[in-house]
Amino acid sequence: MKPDRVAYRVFMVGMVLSVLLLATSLLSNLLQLEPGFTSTVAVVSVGALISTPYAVVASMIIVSASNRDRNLLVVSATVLVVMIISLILGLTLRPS
Amino acid sequence: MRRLRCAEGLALLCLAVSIPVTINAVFGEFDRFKPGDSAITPLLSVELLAMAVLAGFLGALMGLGGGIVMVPMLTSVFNLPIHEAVAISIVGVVATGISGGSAYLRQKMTNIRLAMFLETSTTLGALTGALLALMIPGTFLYLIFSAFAFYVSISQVRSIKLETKKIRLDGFKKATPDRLSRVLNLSGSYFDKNLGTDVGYVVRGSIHGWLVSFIAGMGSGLLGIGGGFIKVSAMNLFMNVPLKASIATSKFMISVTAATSAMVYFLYGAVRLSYAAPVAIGTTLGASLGAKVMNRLKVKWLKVVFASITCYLGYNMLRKGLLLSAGINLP
Repeated sequence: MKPDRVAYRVFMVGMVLSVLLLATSLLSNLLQLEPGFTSTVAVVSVGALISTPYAVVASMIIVSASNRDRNLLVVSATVLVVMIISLILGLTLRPS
Repeated sequence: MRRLRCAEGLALLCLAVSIPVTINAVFGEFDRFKPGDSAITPLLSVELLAMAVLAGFLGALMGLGGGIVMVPMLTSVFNLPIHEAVAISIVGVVATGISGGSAYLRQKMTNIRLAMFLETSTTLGALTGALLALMIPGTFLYLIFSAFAFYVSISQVRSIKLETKKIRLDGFKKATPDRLSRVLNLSGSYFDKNLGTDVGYVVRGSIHGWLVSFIAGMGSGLLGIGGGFIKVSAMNLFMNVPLKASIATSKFMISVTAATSAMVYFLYGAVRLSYAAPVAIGTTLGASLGAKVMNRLKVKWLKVVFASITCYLGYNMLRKGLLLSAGINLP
């Protein structure tokens, strides 16, 4: 498996999925449909969008492990760990 | 192949569904996600979409996030408070990163190994910056980053002829890689559509570039400034990577860096979702367009536009720095 191709595919799946959901949420907002439906679709669409890069980094770990590419594995795992630590610290240290 | 695609799709769908479910379980309420959310008018949606297309286009063209266009416009044209503008803009930055990043990956311009290597320093820098921001005031850092932006701007203008010459004479390939670059296999190549030729390059100065990327990350964690221009400059000026490959690689990195901050804003319910939808759709469209155009442009023009934007960024930081440190209000 080539890392570039896998990253491209994960990006594409994330982009298509989130753009479709974002368009649905935008349309339902414009048509003033059921507010519960609109906000749920909006949450899921933005969630899908911003979790795509996490999925890309995670896929890099899987690809490098299956290719036995130790260097890329260490680098990708470091990035994912720091991303998760930043996320946890951001959530715990941010003033309310 | 088909199984792989299904697995990727399923993984993303699971992620997308699990986030709101987990948050609902942790925070116990969905209302958190609707800070002042209300239905927006069709005209407002079109205006937001147009602004976002421009931001996404510029972002993909220059390897930047696009916040430079979005934040001032959201505050001045759409009258949003700065914290809401930043939260919406960061979602837009993730969207341009994904759209531009995927387009450059398809064009085989992104150096994914280099991106992941530099991402270790950027994410570490952002984390350090965010922690330092709780302890030290960032006033003087605006002046330091402003000086760096002016230096980059001047260096880019001065290197216009050099880069064109290096591409013509295969100069990017003739450098000697450092040890880290050799071990991690960081060197690469891309096809330049404007010149109709393959451009190979050997990455050197890996430690130098890693440190500059760390500073870029710190700047983004401490001051919230986009690290895009520093990342592009770190690769192009210090690591012997051609400008087009630097832009493509920076775009990939931006999606990863911005996703970390965006997730924090999102989980806190700080993103105004009704505004985020047109912004994200617009930046996605703009970034796809920008990525199509970039590889067809002459390096000379890319450098001129990049230097101008960096100069503008430097001036903005200088203005903020002088206002906060000495009370001097520049026009």
